[in-house]
Amino acid sequence: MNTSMQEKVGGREFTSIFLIAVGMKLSDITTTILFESGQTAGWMIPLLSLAFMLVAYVVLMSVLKRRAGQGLPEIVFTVGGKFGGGLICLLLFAAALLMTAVTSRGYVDIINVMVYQQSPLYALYLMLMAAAFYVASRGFAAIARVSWMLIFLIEGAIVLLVSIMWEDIDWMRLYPWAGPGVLEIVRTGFMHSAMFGEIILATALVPQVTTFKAFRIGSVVGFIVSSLKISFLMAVYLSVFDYPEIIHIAYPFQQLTKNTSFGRVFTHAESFFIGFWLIISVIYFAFYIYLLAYLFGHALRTDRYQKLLLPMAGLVVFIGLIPGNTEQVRSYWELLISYSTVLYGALPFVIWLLDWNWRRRHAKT
Amino acid sequence: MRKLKLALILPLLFTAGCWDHLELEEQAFVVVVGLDKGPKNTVEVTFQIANPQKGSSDIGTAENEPPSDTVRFTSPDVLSAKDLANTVVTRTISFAHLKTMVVHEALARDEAFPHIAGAAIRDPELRREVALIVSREKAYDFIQKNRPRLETRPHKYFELMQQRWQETGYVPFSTLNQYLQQQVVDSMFLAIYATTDSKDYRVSRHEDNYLAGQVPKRSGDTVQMMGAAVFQNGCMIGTLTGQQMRWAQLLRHKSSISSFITSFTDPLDDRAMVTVRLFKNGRTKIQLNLAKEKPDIRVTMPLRAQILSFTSLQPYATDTEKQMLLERHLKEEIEKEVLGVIRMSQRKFQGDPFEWELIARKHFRTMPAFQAYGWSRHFKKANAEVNVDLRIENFGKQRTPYSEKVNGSD
Repeated sequence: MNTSMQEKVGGREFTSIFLIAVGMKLSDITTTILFESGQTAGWMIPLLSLAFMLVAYVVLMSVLKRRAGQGLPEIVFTVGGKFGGGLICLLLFAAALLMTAVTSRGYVDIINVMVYQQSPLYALYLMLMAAAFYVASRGFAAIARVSWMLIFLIEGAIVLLVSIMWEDIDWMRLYPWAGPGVLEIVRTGFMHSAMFGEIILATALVPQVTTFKAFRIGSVVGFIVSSLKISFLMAVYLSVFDYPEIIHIAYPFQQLTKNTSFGRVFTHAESFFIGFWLIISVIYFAFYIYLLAYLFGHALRTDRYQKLLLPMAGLVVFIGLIPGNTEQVRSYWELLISYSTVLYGALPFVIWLLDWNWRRRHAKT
Repeated sequence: MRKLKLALILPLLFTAGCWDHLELEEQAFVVVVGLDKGPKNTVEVTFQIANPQKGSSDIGTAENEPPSDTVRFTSPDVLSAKDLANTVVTRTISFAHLKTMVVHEALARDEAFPHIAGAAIRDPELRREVALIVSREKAYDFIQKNRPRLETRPHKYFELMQQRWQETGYVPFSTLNQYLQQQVVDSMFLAIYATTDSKDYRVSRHEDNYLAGQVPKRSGDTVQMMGAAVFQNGCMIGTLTGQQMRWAQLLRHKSSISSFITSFTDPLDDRAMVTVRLFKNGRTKIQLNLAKEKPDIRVTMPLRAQILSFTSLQPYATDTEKQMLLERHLKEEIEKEVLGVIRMSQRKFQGDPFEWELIARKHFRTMPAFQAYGWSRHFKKANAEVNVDLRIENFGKQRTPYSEKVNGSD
C-alpha cells in the first residue's frame, strides 16, 4: 500500500470512530424496530446480535492474523483470485452501499419529521451528504481525529441526557424480563446481527491503522462498548415510555431529548442534543462514504479511491431518495438487515475456507 | 481554485433556514389548549395565546393590550385548528410553549377522546410533557374564567401550579405522556380535575375530602383544582376526591409527593381534630401473590408523622401512654382510609389506578403470559391488606398544651 506513515491512525482514534459510527444506532430507527419484536426484552437484542457477530469476527481475525498488515480486500484477492476477490469486494460494497443509503434516508427522515418539517427532503439530504463528503474528502485520518476530538463531548452529552431523565425512569417497566420469550429474543438477536456488520467491513481498514494490535483492540473495544451503550439507552427508553407505548413512538431518542429541560428556565433542551446529534451524523456518514469509496476502489484494484468519494455521496443520495415514505424505509431496512446478516455471517467462514485451501496448495508446492 | 471554493461555500451561510425559518416577532405562542366536543364528530379547540409584551420591559408599546387572547374554532382535530386560527390571529400559531391542555369532562368521557388525543400527539411541536386537566365545565369557559389575579402572564400560572401540585398531592401530576402510556395497559390513568364553577360546595370535617368545585372558599380566583379524573383505556370513567387522590399517590410505588398536611379525628375527643404532616418514609412496598384465582395484595406503607396541632389540647407530647394511643389511632385511621380507596377502585372503577400492573409484571417471565393473565380482571377480585408503618416524629415547637396546669396532675 502506498499510504504513508503520517496518514495512519492510532488505536484511540480508531476506537472512537466505532464508538461514534456504531453507537449512533442508539438514535435511529434500529431501536424502534428492535422493540417491535423484542418487546420488554428489546434492550437485550444488541448484546445478543454483537455476540453472534463476534463469532464471525473471530473466524475472520484468525485469517487476518496470519497476514498481518493486509486488509480484507488484499486478502480476498490473494486467496480468492481476481474473480473471487472482486466478487467478494463488490458484494460487501453493495451491502454497505444499500445500508448507507437506507440509514441516511432514515436520518434525513428524522430531521424532516422532528425538526424541519417544511424543508424538502432532497434539500436536507443534499446538505447532510455534502457535509459528510467534505469531512470524508479530508481522508481517513481526519475522520479519526475529529472522532477522537468529539468522543468525550458526545459521551458526556449522553450521560447528561440520561441523568436529566433519571426522575422519569422506572426500571420496573423492564419486566417481564423475557419479553416475547427467550427463544424469540435469541432468534431476533441473530436475525439482526448485521446491525454490527461494520465489524466485518472494518477489517478492510487494517492497513490504515498503525499496528495490527491497535486495530484488534480498537475494533473489539469500540463494538462492545457501543453495543452496551445501545442496550443501556434502549433500556432507558423502555423505562421512560413503557412497553406497549414505545412501539407507537417513531423516534425514541429524539422524543427523549424533547422531554428534557435544564431546570425551569431552559425548558427546551432538545436543541442542544439535536445539535450534537447532527454533528455526529455528519461524521458517521463521512466514515461510511469513505468506506464505500475504499471498498469500491479496491474491488476495481485502484489506489485512487479518493476520487470516488463524490460519486459515492451522490449515489447514496440517489438510492436513498427511492423509498416513498418513512414506513417504506423501515421495511427496506428490515429486509436489508436480514440479507446482510447472511452475508456478514457467512463471509468470514468462506474466507477462512479459501485461506485454508490456499495454504494447503501453497504448502504442497 | 481557493476563491472558487469560497464563492461556493459562502452563500450557504445565507441559505440557512430557508424553508423552516421562524421569525420570533411573527409567532403567537399558545400556552393553553382547550378541547370541547363539537357537533358532527368535530372538536371545539380553544387557544389561549400569550402576549409576550405583557410583563416584559417592552410594555410601553403595548400598554392597553391584555396579557392573553382566547380564540375558539370548530375543526376536525387540534392540528387543523392551528391553521384555521390564522384566519383571525395575525401571527403564526406555535405550540412550542404549550404547557397545558384542558379537556371538558363530557369530551373526556366520550369514546372519541382517545382518537383526538392520539391524533394530536403526531405534531412534533406538541410535547408529551403537556399537563392534562379535566374541567367540569366547558374548556372554553374554564379558560375564559381563569384570570388569575396574582399572575399576569398565563404561562406562569400553570408553571407555578404544577410545582404546587407536586407538593400537596391533591391532584395527580398528569401529563399527556402518562395518558398515552396508560391508555394501552391495564393501569388506569389519573388526570387533574378542575373547575371554575364552585356552586355546590360543602363543608367536610376532613379538609381534603373534596372534589373540585366543592372546596369551601369564598373569595379569590375562581379556578379550583382538586381530586382526579379516572381514565380507563383512554376514556374518563369517574373521579377521586383530593383525599383519595393523596392515598392513591402514596399507593403508587413511585410517587412524586413526599409530604402533605392532613387531619384525623382525635382519639380522646370526638369533636376535636388532629392535624399532622405526613412524610413518605421510604418506598411503599407492594407484595402480590398471584398464585390464587383471587390474588393477595399486601401493602406496607412506611410513614413519618409530625403532629402540627390538636384542638383537644390533650398532653400527647408528654404523656407516653396517650402518645401510643394516638399513634395507634392514626395508624388505624390511615389504614381504613387507604383500604377504602382500594376497595372503591375495585368495585366502582373495576380497575387499578395504582400502577400495580408494573409490580404484577414482575411475576411473569414473558409478555404474552402476562397479557393472557389479565391483571385488571384479577385485581377486581383481589384481597387487599394494608399495613401502615407509622412513627410519630415530633409534636411541634410547643411541648405542653395550654390547658394543662403547670405541675398539674390532670
